[in-house]
Amino acid sequence: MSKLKLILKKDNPSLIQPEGKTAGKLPVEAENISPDITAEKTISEIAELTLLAGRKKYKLKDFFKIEGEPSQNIFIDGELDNFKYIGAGMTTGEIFINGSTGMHTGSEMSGGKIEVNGDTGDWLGAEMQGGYIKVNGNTGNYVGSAFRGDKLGMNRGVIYIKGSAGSFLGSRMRRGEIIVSGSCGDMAGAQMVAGSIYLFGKAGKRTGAAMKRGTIISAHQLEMLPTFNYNISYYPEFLKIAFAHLKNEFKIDIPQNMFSGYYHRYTGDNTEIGKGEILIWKEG
Amino acid sequence: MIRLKNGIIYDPKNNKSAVKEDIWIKNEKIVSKPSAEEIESAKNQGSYQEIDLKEKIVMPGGVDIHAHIAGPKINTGRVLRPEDHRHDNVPKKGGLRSGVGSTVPTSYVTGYRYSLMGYTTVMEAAGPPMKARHIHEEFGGLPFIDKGFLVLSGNNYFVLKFIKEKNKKALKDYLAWLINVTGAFGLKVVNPGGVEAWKEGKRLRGIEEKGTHFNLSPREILLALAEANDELGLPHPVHIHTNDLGSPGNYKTTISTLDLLKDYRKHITHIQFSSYGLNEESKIKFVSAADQIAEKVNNDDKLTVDIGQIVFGEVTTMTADGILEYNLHKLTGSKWVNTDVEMETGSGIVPMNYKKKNLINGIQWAIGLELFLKIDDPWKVFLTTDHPNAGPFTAYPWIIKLLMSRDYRLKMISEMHNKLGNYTDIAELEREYSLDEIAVITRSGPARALGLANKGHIGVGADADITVYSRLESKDKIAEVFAHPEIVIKSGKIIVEDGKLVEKLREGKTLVARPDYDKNISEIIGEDFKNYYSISIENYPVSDSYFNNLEVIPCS
Ligand SMILES: [Zn+2]
Repeated sequence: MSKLKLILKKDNPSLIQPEGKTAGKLPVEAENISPDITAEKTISEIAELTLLAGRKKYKLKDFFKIEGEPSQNIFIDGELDNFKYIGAGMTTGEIFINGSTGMHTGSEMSGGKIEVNGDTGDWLGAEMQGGYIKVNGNTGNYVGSAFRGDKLGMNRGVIYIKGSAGSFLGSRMRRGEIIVSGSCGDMAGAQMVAGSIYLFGKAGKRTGAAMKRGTIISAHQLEMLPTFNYNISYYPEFLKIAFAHLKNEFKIDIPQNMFSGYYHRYTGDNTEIGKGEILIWKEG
Repeated sequence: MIRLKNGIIYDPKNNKSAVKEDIWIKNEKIVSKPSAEEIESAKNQGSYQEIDLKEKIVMPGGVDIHAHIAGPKINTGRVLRPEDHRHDNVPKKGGLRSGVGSTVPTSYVTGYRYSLMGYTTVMEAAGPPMKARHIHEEFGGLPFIDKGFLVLSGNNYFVLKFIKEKNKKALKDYLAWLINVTGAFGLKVVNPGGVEAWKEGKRLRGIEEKGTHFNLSPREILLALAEANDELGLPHPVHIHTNDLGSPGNYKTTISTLDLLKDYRKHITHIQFSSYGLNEESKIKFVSAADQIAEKVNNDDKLTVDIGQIVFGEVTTMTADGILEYNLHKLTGSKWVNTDVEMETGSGIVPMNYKKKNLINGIQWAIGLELFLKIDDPWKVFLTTDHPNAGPFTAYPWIIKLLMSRDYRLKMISEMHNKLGNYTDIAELEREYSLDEIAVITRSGPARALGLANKGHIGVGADADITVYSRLESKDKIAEVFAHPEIVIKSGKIIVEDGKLVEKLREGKTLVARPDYDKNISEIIGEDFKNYYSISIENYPVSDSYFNNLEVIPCS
C-alpha cells in the first residue's frame, strides 16, 4: 500500500532558539495534516500546505522531510507534542504518529484511524463523529468531550488509550466508546448523555457526575457520589458481547478477571434524569 | 460628488416605485442635480464619480428598529457561547479588524454583516441606564452603521417612585435627564412592573395585578410612560415589550395594553411573542392569535409594530425580562445567565434552538408570518428577528423571500410538523409582498417610526445611505439578492463594492435625543441616589469623550 511519510526536521520553525539552544516550542496548527487533504494532492502541493507556527504561516516542507507518495495513509515520525489538530475533521484514511502529539488530535473526525505511538495533549477526539483513535501512551484532559460551551461531545467512534487519561474523560459524550487501560483523572463521564466508558485502571473523583444516560464500567472501586443509587450485584450478560466486540474488532486487551466475578450496579446522576449506570467489578 | 445613474429606484416615502432617475450625492447628503459649473469644478478637482447602475434595484439603506448589538447583555451572551463562534471566524483583512460571527457576533463583525446586507442604521433595543457607558464603548467598535440605543425604563426605581407619587413633572424631568445623561435615543419598556416583581420574588400576570414594593400595576406604569414619552416629544414613541411575553394566551394582555394606550403613540416590539392564543382543548394548549392582534393593529393609527420573526436554528435569547429567561431555562435546561441591575432593571440570557419539526416552534414561526401578511398597511409592521432572540439579523433575506413568495412558504411548511395546519392558517394566505412593500418594512417604515426624517428615503436632503441590489431575475433568487447587495453607500461613502466591504474602517454616527428638562431633577433624586446606588450621581452621566460622531435627532 502507498504511504506518505513525514519526518520531523531536527531544526524547524516552531523551535524557540535564543542563542542556538532550544528554550521552548511554538504551538503549530496542523489541521492540514489529514488524509482527506494529502490524498488529493501531489507531493509538491503537499510540501506547500500551510502550517501556522505561532502567528506566522509556514509550509509543511519547512517542518518535515517528505517521502513516499500522496496517499490516504500517513506515517509521521517525530515528537509533535506542540502540533495541534493533527487529523482534525478527517473522514477517512489512516495516520500513524511515531511520537507524541499535541492538543485536538483527531477532534471532530468522522472516519478513518489515528494511532499515536506516544502521548497526546488535551481534547483528543473531542466532538468526534466516527472513526478510531488508538493511543499507546498517555492522554491529556477532555478526551472525546465537548468543546467549551457545546452541549455534546463525541458522537460515535472508538477511542482506546493504553496508558492513562487526564480529567473530564468523555465529558458530555453522546455516543461511542472510550476505553482506558491505565488510570484516569477526576470527572470521567461528567455530564455524559450516552455512550460507554471502560475504565480498567483506577479513576479519580466524581466519576459520572451529572451524567444523564450512558454506561461507565470500572475495574476498580469508585468513590461514588451520593446522588447515585445502588441497585444490584450481578453479571451483566451484555458485557460479554461488548468485551468480545472490543477484543475482536479493535484488538483491545480486556483484563481477564472482568469476564467473571460480578458487578455492583449504580444508577444516577439523580441531580439530572438519573438514567446513567455505573458498573463496578467485584471479585466473586 | 457621486452621480448614480440608471438605477431603478424604490423609495416609498417619496412615492417612487421602480422609477429610473439619477441620484446625486454631495458630501454626506443626497442633493438635487448640481449646476453644470459645480459638476465641472468637481470633475476638475477629481472628486466627481459616476456609477452606472445598469437598471439594478436601488433602495435607501436598511433601518433596523430593534436588535441587540451592543452593551452588557450581548457581551455576556458572547462570553457565554464560545461554541457559537468557533466555526465562524472572520480574519483581519486590509484595514478591517478580525472577529467572530454567528448569533452573537463581535462588534466589528456586527458592523460588517449589517453593511454587507445593505443595512446602514440599527437601533440597539435595550440598554440598562447604568451600563450606558459600555454601550457607547462598543458603539465605538461597531463600524460603518449609524446606531443608537433605547434606555430601559419600565422597572426603574425613580420611574416607579414618581408614578406612585403621581408626580408627573418629576417623572418627565427624570426620563429626560436619563436620556440625556446616558446618551440614549428613546425609551424602552420591558414587562413593566413584572421585572421588578421577579426581582422581589413575585409574579405579576396581565396588566392589572399589583403587589410589589410600590404597589403599582403595569397599567399605571404603561400609561404614565406613554404620556411622558409623548409630552417630551421624543422622536420615537414608547417602545414596549409587553407583559406576559412568551406565555400562551398572552394576546389578551397585548390587547388590553393596546386598548389602554389607544390615545398615545406606541411601538410594540417583537409582537410575534405577544400574539399567542390559548386552547385548553388542544394537547399543546398553544394556538395562533395573529387574527386578533392584526385586527387591532389595522384599526390603530398611533401604533407600529415589529415582528421578531422566528428563524429555525440556533439563537441566543436575551432580554431585560428576567423572569422570561428563567422560564426558558427551566423549559429547555439550557445554560442561563441572570442579572439584577441594581435600581434599574433585570436581565437574562439563554441559548436556544428553534426546530423546524417542532410543533410549537412551527406555530411561533407561522404567527410571525401571519402578522406580516394580515397587517394591511406595511407602514405599521417592520422586519425584525429581535436579533439574536428569534433569529440572527443575517436571516432577513430569507424572511423577505418568505414574504415575497408563497411557493417558498409552502415549501417550508411541507418540511414542518404535519399538524401545523390545525393551529394556523398560514398555508392558506396568498398575499405576496411587492418590492415596494419590502422597501417599507425594511427601511422607510422603521425610519419613520424612529422619527429619523433623513433616513429611509432617497429624497433631496436625506442622508446618502443607499443600497444597490442586483436585478431580481427570478423568485428563487430573492434571498441571495437581498443577502448580497452589490453596492452600499453610507453617508456618501462607498462601503460595499462588488458585494465586498471596502478594506477601510469607517465610523458611523451615534444617534441621540436631547429632550429638555428642569436641572433641579438631579437634586430631587440625589438623596436616594446617594443611599441606594453603587456609584455616585457625579460619575453616572456618560461623558462627551465617549461620543466621536454624534447626531442629535430633534424632539418635537
Ligand atoms: Zn429585543
